[in-house]
Amino acid sequence: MASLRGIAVSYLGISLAVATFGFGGVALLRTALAQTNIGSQVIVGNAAPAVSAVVLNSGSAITLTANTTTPVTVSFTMTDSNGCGDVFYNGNVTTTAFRSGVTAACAASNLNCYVTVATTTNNCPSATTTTSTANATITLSVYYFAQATDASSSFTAEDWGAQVQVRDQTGATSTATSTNRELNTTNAINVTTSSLNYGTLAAGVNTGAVNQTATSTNAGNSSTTLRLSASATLTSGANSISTSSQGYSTSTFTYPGTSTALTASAVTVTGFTLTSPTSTSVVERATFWGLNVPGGTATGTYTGTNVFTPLWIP
Amino acid sequence: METTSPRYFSRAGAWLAALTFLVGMAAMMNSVSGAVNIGSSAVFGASAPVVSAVTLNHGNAITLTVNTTTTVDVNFTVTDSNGCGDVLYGGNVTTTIFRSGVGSSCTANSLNCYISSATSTNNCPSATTTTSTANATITLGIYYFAQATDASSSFVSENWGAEVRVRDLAGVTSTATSTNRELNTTLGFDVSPATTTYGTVAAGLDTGATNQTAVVKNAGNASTTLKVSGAAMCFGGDCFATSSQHYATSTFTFGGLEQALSDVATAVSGWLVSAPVSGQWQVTSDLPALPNDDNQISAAAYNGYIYGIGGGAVNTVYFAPINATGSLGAWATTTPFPTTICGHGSVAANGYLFVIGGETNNCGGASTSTVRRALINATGSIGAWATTSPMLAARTVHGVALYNDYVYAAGGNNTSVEFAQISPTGTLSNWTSTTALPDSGSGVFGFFGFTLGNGYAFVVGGTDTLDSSGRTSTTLYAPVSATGSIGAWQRGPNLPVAAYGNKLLYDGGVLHNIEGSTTTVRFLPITANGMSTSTSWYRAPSVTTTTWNFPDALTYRGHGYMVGGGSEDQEEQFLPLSSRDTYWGLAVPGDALVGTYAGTNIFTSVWSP
Repeated sequence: MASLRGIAVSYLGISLAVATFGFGGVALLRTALAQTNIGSQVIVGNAAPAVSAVVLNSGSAITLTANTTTPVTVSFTMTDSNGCGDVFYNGNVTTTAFRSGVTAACAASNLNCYVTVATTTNNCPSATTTTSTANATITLSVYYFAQATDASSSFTAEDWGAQVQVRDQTGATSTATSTNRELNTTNAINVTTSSLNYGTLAAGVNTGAVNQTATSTNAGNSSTTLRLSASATLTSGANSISTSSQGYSTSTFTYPGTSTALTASAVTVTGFTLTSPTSTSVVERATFWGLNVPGGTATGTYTGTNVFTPLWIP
Repeated sequence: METTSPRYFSRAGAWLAALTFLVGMAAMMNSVSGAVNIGSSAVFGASAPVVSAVTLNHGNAITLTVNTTTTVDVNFTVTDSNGCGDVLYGGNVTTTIFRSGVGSSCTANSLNCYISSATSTNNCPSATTTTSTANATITLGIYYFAQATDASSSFVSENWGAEVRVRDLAGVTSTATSTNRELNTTLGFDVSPATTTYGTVAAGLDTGATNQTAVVKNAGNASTTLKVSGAAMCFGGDCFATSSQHYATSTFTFGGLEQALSDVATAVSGWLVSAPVSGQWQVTSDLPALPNDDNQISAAAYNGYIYGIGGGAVNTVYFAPINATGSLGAWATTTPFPTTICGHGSVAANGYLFVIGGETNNCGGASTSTVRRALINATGSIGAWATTSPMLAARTVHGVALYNDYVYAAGGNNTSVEFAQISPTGTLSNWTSTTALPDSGSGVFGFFGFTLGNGYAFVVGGTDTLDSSGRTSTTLYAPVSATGSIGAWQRGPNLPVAAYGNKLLYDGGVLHNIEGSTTTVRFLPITANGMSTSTSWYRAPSVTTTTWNFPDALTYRGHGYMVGGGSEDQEEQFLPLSSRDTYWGLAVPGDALVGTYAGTNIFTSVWSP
């Protein structure tokens, strides 16, 4: 078999040589085909990005934190066929959280319209990735006085929404809006005076015309009045001074004068209203305090705790 | 040569000696009869030149260069005892390179007969030199489509030779011929434009119904089929699959029946082009006989159908399917034109058939500026005719042509030229005046061949007056801008004869002029700058019957067609051309990055006898 194969190969070689010669050989082989190359070119532009699945505050009502800002998240999904980097690295994202009454086209306001042009936290790998879809989260800091939309608010028929507009590097945009969510009323007072210090008084003496001042600020997003009480009366060891020995008023007084005696149960302070803040400028009001030290009170340093309680008023 | 020259000098010396001897004998005879004053003289006549050692292409087979001319040398030796200047300065040299089948007495023709009357490059010192022998070289430029004679050709039993005829100052000639040499088959395409540019396409989208055209021209000298292949288009490291590009031999909407490009060269079905100027006219399906012989009919083709509109005293519109081989199927009637019409022009583009100008009353009415269009249905029939943007001037027997979606109307009742754009949806814009034809004096210019190609408009022959009393051999060309306007007209090489009723076709860099009232077709290769007056019109394969009464002609999908006319019933004819369009589309993958992607597509010419 080995020798037969060798013979067969040899015949094949001869056969090819004959065929080449028979067709005029070189000329035919040289001209059997010829190639012409041309270029091809396309400019891939811009596939418009698409934003979807916009979710405000993880789908929950928004409850603000008194006297500070509250981080509120807006999450969304962005798809761009040119790669998610076309938006997250080379473009931008504009997120608006807004009270529905002012709409997504609102002007930025700490009351009802929060706008940010951040590029967000996202899982898009890089500017040049071919990954087209990425998830992202924008976090907005919402002030304690942002307008509530719940049943206690002035905007009971409204709520809050979030709109996300993504823009790629060529300026093409896409916009989507979340399901609306309630922003709850926050009723809070911040007492900026940490302690009422009446100083040294002799037994059987009161503070007369000398008042101590406690300043209260509205730390929420609704109008509020004030209720006062004492959770712990003034005591010094085993000795105490009755709760009613402290008197308060919304204006200065000469003890007891127009003051109201403090009680263990909360009592609304007549004529005391803190309106809802409309900006970061605080809304504040003072209460004035006086003390009578009953005769026979043992010498000592007496301390207690007074309680300032907000009361929502429409 | 060193051995040849002394031999000729030696023979001349012997001849002079003989003359001297004869004069001496006469003196002796005269001395017998008496005293006489004897003079002596010698008469030196003009000697015949001799040409020898003619060598074609240095003794080698001729291999042409694709899409251009190839310089081919003819070397020879000339000897003239009166001095080589007697030929190379005072006389002339005629050199003919020819395919053996046409013989050295052939008529100049860039297919098979090249004739030069140049005096050549030579080493003859001067016009008055006593040097009798000189070597010379004539160089001719041979077109890429000159007929091959090798085993792959249609002339396997032939080859090419060179004949040199020298003529001295006195008109005495000598002729010699070379040993014949093969002219090899050359395959190659010229594809234009050089880049298929899809413009801007967004990721995830395709080009839809917008095709890019790659015109594939046979740039060799053999009939050929086409294979295409390609490579991925890339931007940096991001690439599309090769199959993202699609192609077809007719327009398509992406995702239809077109072919996906492959990395492997793939034959394009039904795609075959002839060698340039080699296609033969063939009779095909006959248009039904019309009154007055289809006089001044117009024709157009679209979406696989050809149309014959009006002519003579009729308003009939015929259409016929175009087969894959280029032949026509049976003709049928469709929506007639609203009036009788002749002397008009027609084009078809972007879904509509347009009829431009003309006249009524059996070619005896007033010419019109009216333009009408009809929607072309998928089955080839047409819808109702409706008027659209009229021309600026009334015209009949004018030139009408379509180029890059611009339709042109030239001459007719005057020398003005105008154009309008056909939108992708078939809407015709208003017409715009552009550079008028040179005024022949009568102010009227019609019945000329008219076409556009390779960035130029061309006019061939025609008449000076509407009654065709002043036919002309003049040819004209002018550049066409990207916005459709036409620049200044210049004169090209005249036709060998004055002719009117011409129909002009453009095929891959070559003009074909079908002369009116003859069977003659002449061709002229054009240049990148239009026509060249250093070139000449030569005969191409003739049409099969005389072109009486103004048929119309057009090119479509790699074929030329002639429709209507005729003193009897003109036979409809077609011929394969040497160029054909391919159409291209692209789908951009959804994850493509923004950027410019580029690749290479390969067009392979495959010899096909």
